[in-house]
Formats: sequence, structure tokens, C-alpha cells
Amino acid sequence: MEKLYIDAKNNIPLIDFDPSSGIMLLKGRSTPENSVEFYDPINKWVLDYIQSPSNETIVKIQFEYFNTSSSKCILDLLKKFADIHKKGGNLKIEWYYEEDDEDMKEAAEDYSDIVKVPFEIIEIPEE
Amino acid sequence: MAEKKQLFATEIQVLEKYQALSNSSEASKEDVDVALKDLCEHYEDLLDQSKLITKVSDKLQNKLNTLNEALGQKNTELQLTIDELTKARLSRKAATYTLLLAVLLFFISEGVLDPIVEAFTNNIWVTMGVKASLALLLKPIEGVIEKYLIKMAMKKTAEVVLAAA
Repeated sequence: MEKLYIDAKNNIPLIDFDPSSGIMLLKGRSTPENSVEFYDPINKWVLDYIQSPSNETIVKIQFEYFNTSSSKCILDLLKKFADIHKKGGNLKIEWYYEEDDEDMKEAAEDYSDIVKVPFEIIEIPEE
Repeated sequence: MAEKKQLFATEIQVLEKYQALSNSSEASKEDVDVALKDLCEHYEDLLDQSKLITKVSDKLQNKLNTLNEALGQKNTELQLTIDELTKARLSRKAATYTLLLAVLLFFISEGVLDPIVEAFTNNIWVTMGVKASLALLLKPIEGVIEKYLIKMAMKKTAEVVLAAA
């Protein structure tokens, strides 16, 4: 399975999914013109990946900002990763937020409640 | 609208599946029980999604409001700075015009006023008094020129704003 890499732009986050190491990185701003169109190939890649995931999957998320439609797409994506956990696989979700960004911290808690996977919520200094 | 359909594609699929089942006369009680349980799970999931999306949307609105307020404040500060800079520029312009006027008045005084005054009196204090009066007039004249320039600049700005609107 090939690596999935999408470079970050002003309105799309960095996507760096490495199936060999199991590290999946999402970082930046997510306000694409069409969120479904942007997240669709990512969802498809994850669906393939969860068929035979790495021994340990670490999803590292560091969003600066995301719009409403992205919030739904991110949820759908996390649900797919959560399937690894449901099937007894080794899944770790690390959610990074910049200090004082309480909204991002709360968003992590909400996502964790919905996908029913504990998140490691990590505060980082402002960039 | 097309995007919303795609965004909730899974949910729409579930709805259509159970709408078809509810319209079917062949569904057994067992089918209905299973469907109801599944539908409840989907409903719970959808409710969670609604909560999350509403929360995210509210937070975005709050962020936008805060940014708008900050932007409004910055705009006011910027406008004040622009006004001050314009005033300073116009003051300098008014000072230049006044200086030119002072030079002109000097020549008028030397060439025209002095011979007229001297024709009536030889008293040097009268000549000096006329010159001093002219010199004292320069400051109010500068003020008038400055006010006129500011008025013209404001009129020009208003025309630009109206044209843009």
C-alpha cells in the first residue's frame, strides 16, 4: 500500500499517512471549497488501510482551524480509524492543540466521545 | 445542495433503506424489530453529529464575531492615523503656500505699500506698523488655507467613497 501525502495549503491541511510506520498525520487548516471532494480520496485510502493496518496505528491531529463541513468529514474519517480499535487493533489518537485554544481542546473531547476511542489530548506551545 | 447530499450520503442511504422497509407490506415483525434497533443506533449517531456540528458552527461564529470586532477596532485606528497623516501633509502644504504669500507680500510691501505710506508720512513707525500688521496676518491666513485644504480633501474622499458605493 502506498503512502498518502497531500501538501498543506492555505485552506487544506497536510495529510501524511504512512502505512508502513502506521503514523497518520493531519495538520493545519481545513476549509476546502468542497470538503467532501477533498476528504473522499482520504476516506477511501483509510478504508483500504484498515483492512490490514500496521501493528500500531498512531493518528496525529493538529488542526489550527476547520469549517463546519470539515468537522463532519473529520468525524467520518475518525470513525473509520476507530474501526481498528473496535476490531481489537492497536490504535492511538493524539490530538494536539495550541495553548489557549480551548475550542480545539473541546473539539477533541467531543470527537473522542462520539467515536468512543480515548484521545491523548496534548497541549503544545503556540507556533 | 449537491454537496450536502454527498456530505450526508451515508445517512441518506440509511433513511432510504428504512423508508423502503416501512412502505413494504412484506416486512415481518422480526424485520421491523431489527430495523428499529438499527435505526435507533443511526439516530443516536446522527444526534451526536448534530451536536458536534452545531457546537463547531457556534464556535466558528464566535471566532468570526471576535475577529470582526478586532477588525473594526483596527479600522478605526487606521482611519485615525490616516486622518492625522493627511492633516500633517495638508499643514505642510498650507505652510508652503503661506511662505510663498509672505514673499509676495514682502515685494508688495516694498514696492507698492511703502511708497504710498511714505507719500503721507515719513514716520518709520507707521511703515513698521504696516509691515507688522501684514506679518501678523500670516498665521490666520495659514489657518484659513489649512481649513480650505482639509475641506477639499474631505470632499474628494467623499466623492471616492460615493463612487465606490
